[in-house]
Amino acid sequence: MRTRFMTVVIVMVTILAFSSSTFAQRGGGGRGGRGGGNTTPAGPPKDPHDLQGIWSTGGGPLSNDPPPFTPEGEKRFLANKPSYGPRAVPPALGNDPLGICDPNGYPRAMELRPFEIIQIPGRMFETFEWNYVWREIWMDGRELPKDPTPRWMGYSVAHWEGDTLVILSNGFDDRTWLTQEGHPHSDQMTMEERYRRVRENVLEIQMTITDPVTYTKPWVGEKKGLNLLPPGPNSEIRQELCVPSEEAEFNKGVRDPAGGKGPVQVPPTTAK
Amino acid sequence: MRSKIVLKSMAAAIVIIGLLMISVPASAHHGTGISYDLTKVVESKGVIVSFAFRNPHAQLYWDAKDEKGEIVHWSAEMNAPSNFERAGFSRSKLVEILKPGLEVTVTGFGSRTGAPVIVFSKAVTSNGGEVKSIGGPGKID
Repeated sequence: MRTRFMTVVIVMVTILAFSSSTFAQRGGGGRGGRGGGNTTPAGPPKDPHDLQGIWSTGGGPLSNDPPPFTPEGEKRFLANKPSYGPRAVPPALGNDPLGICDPNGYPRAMELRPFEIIQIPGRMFETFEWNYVWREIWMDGRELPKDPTPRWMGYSVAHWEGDTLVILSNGFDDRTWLTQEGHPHSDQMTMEERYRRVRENVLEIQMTITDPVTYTKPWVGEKKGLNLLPPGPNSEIRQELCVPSEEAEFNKGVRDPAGGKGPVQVPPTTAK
Repeated sequence: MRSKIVLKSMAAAIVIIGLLMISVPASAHHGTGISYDLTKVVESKGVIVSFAFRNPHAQLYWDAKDEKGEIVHWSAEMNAPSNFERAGFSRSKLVEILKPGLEVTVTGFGSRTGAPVIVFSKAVTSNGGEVKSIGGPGKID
């Protein structure tokens, strides 16, 4: 009897653990960033138009199967030297903008760490822990600007189609990368995102990028499920700023010598 | 008796589920893995020079003697401060353990170039202090 009960418990634990991690992997893309467990109820959302909460990001909204590049896109891609993917080089020898604390921009802000959605009348905000940046999404009926000045996080407007929030964006600064693998984009890129709270604790997102300068057809990301983080100290948005002076010390002390670029240089002081 | 077993089993199940679900975000966000040979475990014994609880990754610096008896400056790339915090390590706790002047044995994976830099796995100090990687390429157990 005891053995049988233990067997049942073990099976239950296994099923529960796998069901959780399977979904997390859909959102996580294997790059981490869940930032905590998920003990909130898994039932239908109390209010599907309420997206507020702190959510996992888990690897960013784009999958790693972009459409073919245009010749210009290929040129830009080859100019980028990432530290992930098949063309990875040590960061010391690469040119990832984040290595000198240049802005990550959007959608790269969603690559790591949790983010929070805050809704107020006529607007929605997303605050990202990684690099401690935020994004403003207008929901007051306005249209996208016709001739936007490029911005790091782009310009975004949104509306509801049933229970799906459709976010449209343009005006992105082309100095950011879309992914840590170095996928480029131009300032002509437009983006459509579809957010749906499919369960109380799961936000399903899908992103489509259209950039005829860089890609021969739209880049349609897979649907990803982001987990709501339960209340508690581990679901706070921490202030993970990229500070140029800190980054420079890290580069001299670790990143550059690890890549064979100069000796280890110890920072002048110990952090206290 | 049976109900005790049931309760214990349920408690164990809850703990296991909790451990599985509360995973630490562990990815190294600056392409750490490519700089190190993740098959080459390196151990170095020396004296702590500095510990920096700073972005993008905490860093440990120590001096060790090479086979000729000459001092070599070593460094270790540790977890990001926010990840240490999520795992329950405050800055003051780590600064207390990794005090400059203490003897330390540091384990990790070595730079592919052979430079005295590792991605951090573990540090054990002469007074019994210990810090382990909480995730990412350096984590070994």
